Amino acid sequence: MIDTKTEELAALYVLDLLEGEELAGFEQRLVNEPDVTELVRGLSTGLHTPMKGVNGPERLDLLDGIRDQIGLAPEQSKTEIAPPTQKVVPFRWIPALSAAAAILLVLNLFQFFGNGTIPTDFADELTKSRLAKEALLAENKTIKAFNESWETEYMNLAQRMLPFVESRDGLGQFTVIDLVNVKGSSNSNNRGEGDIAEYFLSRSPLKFASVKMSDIPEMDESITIGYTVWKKDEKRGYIDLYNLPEAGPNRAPFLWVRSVPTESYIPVGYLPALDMGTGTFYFTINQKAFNPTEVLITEETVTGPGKQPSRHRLMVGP
Amino acid sequence: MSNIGISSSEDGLAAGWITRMAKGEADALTALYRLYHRPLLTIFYGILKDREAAEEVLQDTFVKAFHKASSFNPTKGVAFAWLVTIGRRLSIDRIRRKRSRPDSENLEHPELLDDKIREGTTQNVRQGAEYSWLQETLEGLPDRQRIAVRMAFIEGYTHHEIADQTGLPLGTVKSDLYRGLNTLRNNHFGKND
Repeated sequence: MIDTKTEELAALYVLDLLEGEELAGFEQRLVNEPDVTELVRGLSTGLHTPMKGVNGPERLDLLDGIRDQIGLAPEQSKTEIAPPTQKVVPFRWIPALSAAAAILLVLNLFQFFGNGTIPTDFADELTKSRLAKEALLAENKTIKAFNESWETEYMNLAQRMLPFVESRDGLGQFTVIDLVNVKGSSNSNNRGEGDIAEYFLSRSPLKFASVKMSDIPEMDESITIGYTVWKKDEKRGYIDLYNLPEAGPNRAPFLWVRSVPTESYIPVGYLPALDMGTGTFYFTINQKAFNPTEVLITEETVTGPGKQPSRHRLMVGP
Repeated sequence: MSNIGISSSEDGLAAGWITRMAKGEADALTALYRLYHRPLLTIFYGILKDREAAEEVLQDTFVKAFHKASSFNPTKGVAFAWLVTIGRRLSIDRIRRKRSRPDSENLEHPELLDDKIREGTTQNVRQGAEYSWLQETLEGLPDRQRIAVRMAFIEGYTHHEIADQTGLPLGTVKSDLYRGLNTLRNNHFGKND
C-alpha cells in the first residue's frame, strides 16, 4: 500500500528534488518495493513521455561536437556495413521470404535515402539523409506518394535494426521472423509484401536506382503482418505487429514461441494493448541457449492460457 | 514463465544503447543521439530560453551520458528520463549561476539590454511552436499544480523555494507536485482522476 508520504517522495524523486539521505533511502526502496518502483515509473512516464513527441529541428551537426569532446575520431564513430552483394544473410533457419523482407527493408531504406546507391557508411549516409530525401522526392512524385506512408515505418525499423548490424558480419547479427496471417496465406491476401521482397531479391542491388515504382505490386494496407527481431545476447525479442485481428469475447491475444519445430511452444504472455491491432513490444525468454525460430499468437481466454496453444490462431510465423 | 515488457521496445533499445555506450561503443552514442536529440533540445530550450545555451547543454548531456553510461540503472527510470535529468541539471546549474550573477554588461550599458530583449523576442517567436509542448503538457492541470510543476521542472526551484516563493506550506507544495504528476500520469494512461 502506498501512503501519502511515499507518493510525495515519489513525485520529488521524479522531479529530481531529493537529496542526501532522503534520496539514498528512497532509492533503496525502489530496489526493494515493486509498488514504489511502479509508482515512480508511472509518474515519470506521465511527465516525460509527452515530451518525446516534441520534434524540434534536426541538429545532427551538433553530434560532431560531442564526438570531439569525447575524443572520438569521426571514422571511429561510424558503422561500416558491407554491401549485400558481398555478404549474404545467413539462411540457417530463416525462410527465404523472411530474409527477403528483412533485406528489402534495409536496402529500400538505403535506396530511399541514398539516392539509389548502397552506402558503405551508414552513419554518414544518414547524416545526409534529409537533403538526399528531399532531392529524391522532388525528382519522382510517384516515389514520394509511395514512400510517404513507408518512411516513418522504415525509420523506426532502421533504428531497431541498427544495433543488430555488425560491420564484420554484415547482417549476420540480425534475425527476422516474418509473421504471416494464417487465413491470408490460404487466400493470397498477404502476397503483396512477399512479392515486393522477391522482386528486389531477383535483381542486383546496384540497379535499385532504376526501379520503376509502377512495377511494384500494390500493397494491401489491411493485411496482417509482423516482424520479430531476436537479440541473443539480451535474450530479448522485439515484435512489430500490424493489423492483428481482434480476439473474441473474453479472449485476448497470447504470444508463444519455440526454437525447434518438434518441441512444444513456450508460453510468453498476453500481448499489451494494441492500437487497431498494431503495436510494438518486446519479450524475454529466460531459458539458456534459446533461439526462437517460430512465433505464434493465439486467442486465449482472459482467465489464463492452457498448457498448449488454442486452435484459435491469429498469426503464426515464419 | 517468460514475460512481455511493459515498457516500449524503444525504451529497451535505448537502454541497450546506453549499455553499449558504457563499453565505449560510439555507434550506440550516435543511435541514441539520433533518437532523442530533437525533443531534448526543445526541452532544454524551454528551460533556458536561449538557443545557443540549449545546444551546448544538449552536447554536454550526451558527453556526460557517454562517460556516465555505466551508472544508468533502468530500474530507476527509462533512458529518455535519465537524459532529461542530466540535461535539466546542467540547465538549472546555468540558471542558478545566472541568478546569482547579474548581467554586469547590461547594468553598465543599459542600451544593450534593449537589443537583447528585441533579439530574444524574435527568437522566441521563431521557437514558439517548439515551446508550445510545455503549455500543451501542463495546461490541463489546476493552477496551483501547474505552477508547482512548472517551477520545479522548468524553472529549477526546489520544493522549499517554491514554498517560499508562493507562500504556501511546504506540505501543500509537495502534495501539489504529486497531484500534478499524478494527473499527467492519468492523462497519459487514459484514466480519470
